[in-house]
Amino acid sequence: MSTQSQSNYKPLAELHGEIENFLAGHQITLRTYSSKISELFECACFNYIIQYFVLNKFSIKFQNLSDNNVFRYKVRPAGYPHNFSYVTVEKAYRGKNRQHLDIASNRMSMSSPTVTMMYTILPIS
Amino acid sequence: MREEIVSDYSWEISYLRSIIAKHPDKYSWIKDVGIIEDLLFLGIFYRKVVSPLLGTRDFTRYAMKNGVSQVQIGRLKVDAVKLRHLYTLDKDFQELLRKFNIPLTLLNYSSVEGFLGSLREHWDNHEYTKSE
Repeated sequence: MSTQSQSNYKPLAELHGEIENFLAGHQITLRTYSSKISELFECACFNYIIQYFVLNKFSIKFQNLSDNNVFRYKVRPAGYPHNFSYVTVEKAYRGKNRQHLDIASNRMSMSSPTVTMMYTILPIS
Repeated sequence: MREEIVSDYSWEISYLRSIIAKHPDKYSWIKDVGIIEDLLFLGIFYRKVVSPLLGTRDFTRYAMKNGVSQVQIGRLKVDAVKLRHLYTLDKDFQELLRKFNIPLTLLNYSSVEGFLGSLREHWDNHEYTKSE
């Protein structure tokens, strides 16, 4: 049980070299995204929010797509909201009391309890 | 991003060395600090790079299944070709972990001590992956 020869796994002493091989093999992909990781992190968080609604059986619609059905994710507060895409989630209970949320990223919003302006990923209606 | 990873890595390595020096008995099971350092790098790389990339991939995949042709994030356009690259990266990363029997949960640590605790537990259950 304790010998490497009985194992299907590589010895960890070889891990360093394998990590270097992995990084070298994917250097083009990693370079493509390296300067945009914080934006991709936001997009990943946005994905988790959408997946929550998917798991809870909401219907999902991608709204305000630009030409050729491109979803334009808003990555910073600057820019007019109508130039960017958002997601609508909907669910009906027993055919009525329909729940409807528009979920957008980086839109200015007012929080009613604190009356503070904030930019965040949040439902906008 | 490179600077951020190097900064996190340097901090974790120096912290690792300091706790090993402070508590040599507690961490006497560590025979090769270099391997621990490689695993810490892998953890930082997974959390800082791989995880956001895969989240973006999953969002793009779901959007494409629902009529979206590509997702534009700032100047970056994630289309079917880039999606394939991200799938390959994920596959190779999973293969790397599989080769060395490194569970993904091990890389999701919030403190170096927590990581060492999980690693020891993992090694105790999988004696053959220890470095000798």
